[in-house]
Amino acid sequence: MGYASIRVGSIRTRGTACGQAGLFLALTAVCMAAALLPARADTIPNFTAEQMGGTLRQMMNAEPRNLNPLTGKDLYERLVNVYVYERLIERHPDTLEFEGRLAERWEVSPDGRIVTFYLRPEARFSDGHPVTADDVVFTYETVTDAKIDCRSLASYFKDCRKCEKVDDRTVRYTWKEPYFKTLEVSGSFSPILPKHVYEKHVRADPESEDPKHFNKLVQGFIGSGPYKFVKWTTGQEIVLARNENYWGKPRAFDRIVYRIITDTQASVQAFLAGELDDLPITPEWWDKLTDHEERGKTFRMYRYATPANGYSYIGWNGAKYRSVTKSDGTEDRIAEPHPIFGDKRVRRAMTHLIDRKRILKHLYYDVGQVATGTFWPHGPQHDPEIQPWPCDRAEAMRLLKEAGWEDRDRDGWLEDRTGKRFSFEWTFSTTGGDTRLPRLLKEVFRRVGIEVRTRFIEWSVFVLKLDRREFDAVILAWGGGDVESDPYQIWHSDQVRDQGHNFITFRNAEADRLIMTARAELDPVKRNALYYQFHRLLHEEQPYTFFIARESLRLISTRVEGVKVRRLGIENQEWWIPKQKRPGQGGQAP
Amino acid sequence: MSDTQTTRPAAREGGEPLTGPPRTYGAIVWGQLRKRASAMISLAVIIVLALVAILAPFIGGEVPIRWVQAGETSWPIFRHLTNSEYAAMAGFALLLTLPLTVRRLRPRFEQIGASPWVRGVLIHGGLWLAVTVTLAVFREPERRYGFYLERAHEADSSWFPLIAYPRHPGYQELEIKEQPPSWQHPLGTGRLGDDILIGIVYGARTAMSIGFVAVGISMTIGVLLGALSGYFSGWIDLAMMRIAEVFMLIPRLILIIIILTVIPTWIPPVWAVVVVLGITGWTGSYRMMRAQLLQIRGEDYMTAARALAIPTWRLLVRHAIPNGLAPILVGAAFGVASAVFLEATLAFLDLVETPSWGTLLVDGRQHLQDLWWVWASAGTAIFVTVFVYNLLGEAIRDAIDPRLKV
Repeated sequence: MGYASIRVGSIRTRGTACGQAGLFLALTAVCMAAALLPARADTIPNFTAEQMGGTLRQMMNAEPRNLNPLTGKDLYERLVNVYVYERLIERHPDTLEFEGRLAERWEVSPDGRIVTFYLRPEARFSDGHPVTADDVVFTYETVTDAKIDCRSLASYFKDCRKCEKVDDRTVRYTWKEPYFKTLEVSGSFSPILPKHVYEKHVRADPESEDPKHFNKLVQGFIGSGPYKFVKWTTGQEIVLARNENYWGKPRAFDRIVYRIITDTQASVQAFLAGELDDLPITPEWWDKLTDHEERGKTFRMYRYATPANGYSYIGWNGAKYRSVTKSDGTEDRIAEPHPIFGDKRVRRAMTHLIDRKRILKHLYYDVGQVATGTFWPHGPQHDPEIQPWPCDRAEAMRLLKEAGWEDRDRDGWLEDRTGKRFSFEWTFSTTGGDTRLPRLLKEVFRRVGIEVRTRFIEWSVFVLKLDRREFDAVILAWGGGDVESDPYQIWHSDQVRDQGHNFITFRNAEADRLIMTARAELDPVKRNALYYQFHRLLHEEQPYTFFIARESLRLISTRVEGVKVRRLGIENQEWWIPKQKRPGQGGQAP
Repeated sequence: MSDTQTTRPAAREGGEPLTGPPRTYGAIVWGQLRKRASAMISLAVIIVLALVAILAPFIGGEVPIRWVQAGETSWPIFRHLTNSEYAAMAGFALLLTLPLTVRRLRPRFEQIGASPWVRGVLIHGGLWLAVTVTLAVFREPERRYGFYLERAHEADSSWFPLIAYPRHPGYQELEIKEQPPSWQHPLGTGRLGDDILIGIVYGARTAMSIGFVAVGISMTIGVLLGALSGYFSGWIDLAMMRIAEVFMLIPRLILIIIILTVIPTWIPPVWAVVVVLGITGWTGSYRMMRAQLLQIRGEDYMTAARALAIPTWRLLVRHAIPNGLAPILVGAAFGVASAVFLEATLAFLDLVETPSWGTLLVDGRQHLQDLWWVWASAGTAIFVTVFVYNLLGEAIRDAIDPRLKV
């Protein structure tokens, strides 16, 4: 699990720590995560010789920090490695059932604790070496090695006791406790790395403490996927070429080029000029291009919701931290209930004051839907009965009054019983780019007598503030969620300390109980009933004002054939470009 | 020919005879400036801009000037104006009336050592300080949101500002976002339904205050240190010059970015920017003042003053600094222009969220064709401001250049 920021209303994605799977922290609106679906061999058509060839030209809106599949810190690393690496199992994009990729079959013990994978004999890395149990064990050991800078991914394997080789083609994961996601985490969270290539990097220098050689590897990775890495020209492009040794069905394109274009307008212009085949866009551009004369002639527009899109939210900090110097001179931080947002009536009043429907319509062009909870709205854990709280000023003022906030001295601002003004600090990341939402809400709150002090800070400092829980309110998004997610990482009170992802300090005994019971419940019906309860609890508590469940928006050129929208989105590896439509330049950056 | 030489012995360049006390340096420069139309127009534009900035709440906003309801007349805007707005108004009025005061003082201070300008500035400065302190101590501005616009029909009579429209948009205003110029919104509306003209008018405040205050701070520091450095020279000069070199090396933009992340929220970021600009930008005027002083300290009038045993501080303040000040003014005019530019840059980087021309420019940037009225208005405002300050700076430079004097 990790962080990444996605620009409000734009598509800049940057961040710290983001593993192979799981959530990342984002900044609302659209996402590059649109292009994150790992292709299933079954859904890949058998391309004819005519269809094979050409270049797929895509866009990245920021430079990746590195392309290391384990220590990569941002979404861009994932965009590239989805072509280069494979996992043991993957979800079918339509049925959402798991199917084998590197594993041909697997067995799960009745209590879910032991997962055994049988690898495909034909699976090969791009250098011709077969994929064996040793590689899987090596990858597991590397991921869980404390010296490898891969903590976010490792945290998912926290409850995994061991991963052992049974024979050359059989691997067994043993988990400490029953957990409904053991199969998913063991099989689909980590890409498989070749041991014979990276062993010397990981164990290069057993003497040295830190950091291992592997952490410093930035590019040139070898995997078993249908493409291999060719080059990365900083600020310009990343080029992948077809893996000629690929063990599965070959993909159509000879090469895949990611052009790095940081400016949204420039990338749209490049797309309209025919320099890109595929482009994730913002709601604003979606709205603008809807009536474009070229629509349907040179490009098509696609809109769909996947779990990876996540949702945006306003997080109300439930605790205020106070630094205390202990007798031995060390600093301790004591959490006290937040004077304003510690009260759930206040949090609900805030939700009532925010007209999410109107904001969605005017600021995000009705792309997405108002969110009510943390689960994927189209997944099995989401209770469709729960309706978002409406925008209702009278109800909000009633709740605030009940919680003790009213205008006592007739000065236009709300005060509590001691006369302290309702005033809070709202922290934003400047990386967000779009200041419309903070500007609007600041004024909306001012009009009812709530003083908002906005603060714009740089993303890296912002993440630091999150980790130290030094904020009253933030606006952010979670992205990269799963079809079925485990709310433990965000909502359990264990995650409050040690920079866990429960940075709004949500502590609720009932929520903790539901999370832990549901986690160990292997029967999907019973489990989802528990998650329905959890969903309702979050709805009542409103630790976040759930904002918008986002959608992916993409422009795809009409040159591209074979585009299908599946339940999990659009898969680029199913595409081809007919010979007569291929540009002569082969997609080189001009 | 020889006839004229013998009959009119003392004729000045202009042909008029030399009568009365000699014209001061300032008067000569002012005379030169007045001859230039561009300088006068620039000055007029700057005064208009300052007026617009100071009177912004009367030009656009939601608070009515006069409100009559149930037979009761009230003047809400005067209760809503903040103390700093009143202070700015007072300051502006006192600045404009300064020449009148000086004129009144002039006949009384004709002896050496008592400049009417110094007295005038002291009197007006004292007045301004008194007003500001009184306001800060005794006045609490009204901050209640009155919903006046929504309740306009309840009033028997009301006078609203020229553009009766909320300064910041709420949900209501979202409905009419991104509208091209019309009679209700002469410069159109922005991406949140905010009125662009109101944005420009209030943005003038940011631009003006950033320019004036930042340049004021940096000039004060620069002139004082430069004078000391140039007058005393020796090791003081050496040490100060090294300090100045260190300051010259500080990348201002990066320093500002760092400071903006660490300041507490109760300080408006725009003021932090102003202070940083002031504190880091003094090296230019410092070096100029130092060079001036190195030259002035050897002048005859300085020797004469020293011979009269005039104390050193008085020597500096009354004789040395005023004579070296003119070239600094050139830098100041250019400095204001560059401060306006820098503020736009910061807004462009999303570093200040104070409504300003820079933020408007950012709003319009992504939508060059669709929202032309947004960026065009902000761009024009920035262009005009920077242009007039540059014109003025150039005019002052020419006016003080002895080679250009005929």
